[in-house]
Amino acid sequence: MALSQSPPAFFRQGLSARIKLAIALTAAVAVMQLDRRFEIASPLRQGVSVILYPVTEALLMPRDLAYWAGERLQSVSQLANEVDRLRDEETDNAQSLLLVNQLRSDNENLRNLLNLKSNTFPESRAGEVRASLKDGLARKVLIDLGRDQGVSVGDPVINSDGVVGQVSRVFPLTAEIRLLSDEQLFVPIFLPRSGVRGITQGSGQADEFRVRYVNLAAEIQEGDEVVTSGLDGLYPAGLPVGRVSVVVPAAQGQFPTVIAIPAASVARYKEVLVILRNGGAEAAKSADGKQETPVASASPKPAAPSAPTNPNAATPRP
Amino acid sequence: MRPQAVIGRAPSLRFIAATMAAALVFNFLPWAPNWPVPDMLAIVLVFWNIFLPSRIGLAPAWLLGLVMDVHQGVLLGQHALAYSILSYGAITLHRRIPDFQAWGQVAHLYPLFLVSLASVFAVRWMVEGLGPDSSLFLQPAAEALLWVFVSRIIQLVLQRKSRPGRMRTRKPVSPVKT
Repeated sequence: MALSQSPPAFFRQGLSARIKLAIALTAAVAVMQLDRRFEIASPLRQGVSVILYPVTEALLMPRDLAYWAGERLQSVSQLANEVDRLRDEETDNAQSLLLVNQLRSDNENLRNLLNLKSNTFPESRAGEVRASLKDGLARKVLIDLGRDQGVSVGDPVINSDGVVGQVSRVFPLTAEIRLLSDEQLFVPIFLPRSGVRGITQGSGQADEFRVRYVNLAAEIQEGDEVVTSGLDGLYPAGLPVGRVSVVVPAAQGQFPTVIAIPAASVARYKEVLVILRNGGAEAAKSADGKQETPVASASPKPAAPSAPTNPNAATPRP
Repeated sequence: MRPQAVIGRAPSLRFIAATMAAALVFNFLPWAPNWPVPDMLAIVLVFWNIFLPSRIGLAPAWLLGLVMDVHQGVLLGQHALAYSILSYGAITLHRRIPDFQAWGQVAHLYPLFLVSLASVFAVRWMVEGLGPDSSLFLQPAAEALLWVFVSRIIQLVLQRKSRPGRMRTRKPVSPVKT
């Protein structure tokens, strides 16, 4: 009471500190249970996050300004190199995009002929990583897409190098991504060289994950490519996930320890692509239909009538 | 150090709220996730619970804990739990701490911060099965050391605010014209 001006109340002391502590602890545990088991605490979290959003964005501004200034100050030669590299990449990609478009329409026609359920090409949306969450035990980042953009929990997140992670929590304006290196994220994978299936689990270390439950007889080597198997129906099959870096042979009756390095790193590129599984369709339709435009514009002739490309496909025709 | 100079200088509620808001902003800064960055809000809560235990109780600690949970994107309630334990410990120690020199205060507060952070890690371990890392021991050390500086700074500000010289700088009341 070193700072108080008035003496404490003599008779009305209120509850004792111990009872207050007991109430606070009980309430905290109750909130934890509500948050964990029911959706009741979710509106509370959403509300507070919306209130905090402008504050956190304002605090990120100096950093963004520094990034922006750094980009401006890049030398001309560096930028020219970058442009050259991207042009080369574009020419390389144009070829394969052409092929993909043809294959896609062929595939669609064949599937129609065989009365098979058609493959859907999910909508996606590009976003940017805003910040990594300060949580020593989890690997999570925040992106600038939220429920308003059609993102929902469980959506896979990729970038140009491969799988980044999965949406673990959605707020109105932002979403939280669990990275591949998080201990709680599991992705079904396939090793094309040895033909082995398995599941990844993050190791909690930055930029590293384990490949678990692989076939005991499989011979896995360092440098083996890891891609998604698509068995969960969530991640499209064949996306690069990483590359095996360490293999410790199995002891008797145990799985071998396989450690791999993710192909995609959010430290290098901030841009990510969220694959919208559900709800995204309407949101994306109402917002814009530009997702597949690059594919369409790269093709010199319009896709086959049955191809699931958007109406813009006809625009690049000369 | 019994702060004789600040005895009887009741800080306004606005000043208390300002220190807590500043601490919150410090916590919201985009720190690297792996550094044992001290939790400034915990430090400020301990300060006010030591120097004003009758006014600042567990309620603000609990509510600010929820805000921290939302910001960090973790299970709601674990910081509320940690800050409640912290505030209770601070209220229990509030007669002892001011009588110690800096190192004595650090020695008292390190276990307090440690227990509080350990409760967070215990929740993580029970709910998500995640074991603690080295920050369990490093972060409380950083917090206890920083507490000494933060408490000195807040006391200095309080002394400055209540210095008689500041009263004289106010404009004299102009005589009423008739």
